[in-house]
Amino acid sequence: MSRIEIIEESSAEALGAGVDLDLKPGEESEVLMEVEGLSKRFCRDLKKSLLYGVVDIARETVGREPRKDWLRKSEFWALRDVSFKVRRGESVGLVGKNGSGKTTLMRILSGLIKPTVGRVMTKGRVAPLLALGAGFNPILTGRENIYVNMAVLGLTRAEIDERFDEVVKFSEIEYALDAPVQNYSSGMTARLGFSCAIHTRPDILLIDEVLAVGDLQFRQKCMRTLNEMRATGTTFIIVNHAATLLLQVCNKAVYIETGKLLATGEAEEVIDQYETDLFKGGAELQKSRKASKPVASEEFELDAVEFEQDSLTTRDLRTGRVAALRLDCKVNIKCPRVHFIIKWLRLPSQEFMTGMEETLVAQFSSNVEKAEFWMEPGSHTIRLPLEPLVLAPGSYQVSVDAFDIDDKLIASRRSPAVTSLAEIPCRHSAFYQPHTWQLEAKPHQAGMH
Amino acid sequence: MSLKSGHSEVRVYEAQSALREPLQLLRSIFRDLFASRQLALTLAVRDVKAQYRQSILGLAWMVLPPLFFTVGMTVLQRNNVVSLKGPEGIPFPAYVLVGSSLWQMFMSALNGPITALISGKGILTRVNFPRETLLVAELYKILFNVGVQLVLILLTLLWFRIIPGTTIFLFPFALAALLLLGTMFGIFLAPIALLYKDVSNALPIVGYVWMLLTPVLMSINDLAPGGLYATVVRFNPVTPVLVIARDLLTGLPITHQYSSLAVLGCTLVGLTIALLYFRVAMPMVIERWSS
Repeated sequence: MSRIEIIEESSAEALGAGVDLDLKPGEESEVLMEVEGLSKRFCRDLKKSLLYGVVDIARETVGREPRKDWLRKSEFWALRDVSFKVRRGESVGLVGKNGSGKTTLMRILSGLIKPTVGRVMTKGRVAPLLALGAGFNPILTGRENIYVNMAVLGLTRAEIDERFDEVVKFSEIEYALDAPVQNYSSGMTARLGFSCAIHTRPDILLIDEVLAVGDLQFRQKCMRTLNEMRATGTTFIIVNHAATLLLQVCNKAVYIETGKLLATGEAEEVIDQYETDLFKGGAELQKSRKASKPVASEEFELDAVEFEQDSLTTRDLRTGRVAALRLDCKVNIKCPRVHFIIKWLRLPSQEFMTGMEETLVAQFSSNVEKAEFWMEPGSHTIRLPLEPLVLAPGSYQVSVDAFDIDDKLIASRRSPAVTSLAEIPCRHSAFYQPHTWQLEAKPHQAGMH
Repeated sequence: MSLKSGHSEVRVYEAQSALREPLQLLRSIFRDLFASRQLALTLAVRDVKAQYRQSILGLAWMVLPPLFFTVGMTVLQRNNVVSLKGPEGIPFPAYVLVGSSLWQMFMSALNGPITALISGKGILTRVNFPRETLLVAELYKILFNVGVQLVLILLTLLWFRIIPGTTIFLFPFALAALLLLGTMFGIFLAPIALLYKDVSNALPIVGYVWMLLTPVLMSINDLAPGGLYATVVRFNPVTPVLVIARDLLTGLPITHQYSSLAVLGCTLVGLTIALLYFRVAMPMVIERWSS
């Protein structure tokens, strides 16, 4: 069992708030957040802004509330009449161009600033990740800062004591725990901040553009943790420009433009609309994403496509060691001569570069390799031992297409995104070629001096 | 806003002013103040630790300024540069040290809310927690510093063989009144100080003039009665509290007991109003601050 897997199990357990999400069809979970007719005005001119600030404070203090539904000179609506609801276990991607009001909305949702008009209701503990490491004091050590940070997020000392080890384990910075935080890299600070926030076990997590920090492996871990948290009833709202990232973790989306709500609903549709508005090439991106949806037919289904290493299903692979690809199939009607095409896709390493395509790095065609399967009804597993795994470090996905005897596509499914790390450094390499170094003495040849 | 959390905790953020129901607002402020005492202590300990981690002289910085001020004033007085003299029965250096230390405590309480909010900008603009926590944390830090200064004062009094009377047990109340009075002014100033830098720039000047209008270095009995200066000094709210605190500490005959009780009463009422105002003002300041 690798180190990372141990961490995941403990954190998954820790994060499971024990909420029962088994809903019957048609039944809706409780509303955790309700935004009603929300408007917020801001002022572009700093001097006027300060003056309005003093005037507003004075008026409110003496209890003479001015009419609010209008704009004074130099003011504009940062948000205008926004309404939506978020239920338990939903995860919402908040999209919109720069300056559309996303951050303002997040700040109102977290209670930092007041609505000018309208109302926001939240239920349960809210943890804002508006910037990682808020409240970290640079001079104090990581250990001391964990206590301060989690206390600010509303935990008692006893609660922090109890969760301290989990926070450290998840952040993977044990080695720097007693160093001052000013010596941390931005990635290390991000790890610590993210770990502190999720271990407050919030009901609602607000995440504003903070997943871009941290290395690939940690980002993947965050994404997985977010998915686990959603499964146990945590709701979150994420602001991010990377559609692929949002689609990995969100099932709903809210699209705002210049402060107005343009669309809410299923993540796929709303984000499609946003991208169509954003680029002309939006349609292409959507097409490539649609291909990632699983396809099944009456006779044959692909239930799972997973990687295994050390006899465990994993998404963190070690290059240079033995691994396996596992296809779980469910056969409903007898299928003679099923064959597969497996495509290995390398994912763009920067999620925020929406334009970058995934690249095909390898392809297996079972019929070319003379591997066809006669499959009886029931559940089957097809295993492909990879001895050893040769992927260069990076993020990958495999797409599996199953075909019947007439070469008709009967099922298609993608694996979850997996990360490969090399134990032996293989920089400047397209793949890892297993090898050893051997010194051999040449036999002595007569006649040569 | 409440620190107590559970699955059922509901928060509502509305456009209407929370001051529409002042009693309910007051109740939630005091509930938050009580709930955040642990957090305030954590923050205060963090700041004190951080403050001394980058310092060699450490705690000495608490006592060096009043010590040097006292030495300076004593030199000036001995050479007749200033014609100040303390009351009978107490050496001038001890009198100056006690007076200036008490004044410094008042000023640090007044500056407290402003410094607390400015240095807390990072968390104020990112995390929603009871903002009063920062005020309480600052008060803890001030109490810590006051404690250190009191040790210096007591050592000095012992050095001059001044034994305070049994009334010393009333000193903590006078000290509390002094600190709360400063805190009250500080809370009223803080939100405006966060918007306009003018407040922070003006404070040292105002503090200096205010000190001259308070009997910090002289005894109030030495003033020519009836003059404008004496009248201003008498109506200065800090005067009775500072004088009674000094009397209690040095064993001088106690004066100003009724006026200081009146100031204490007004301070408690003023502080309550200040907390309501603070709660209403902070979200507006934070939005102007980081927009």
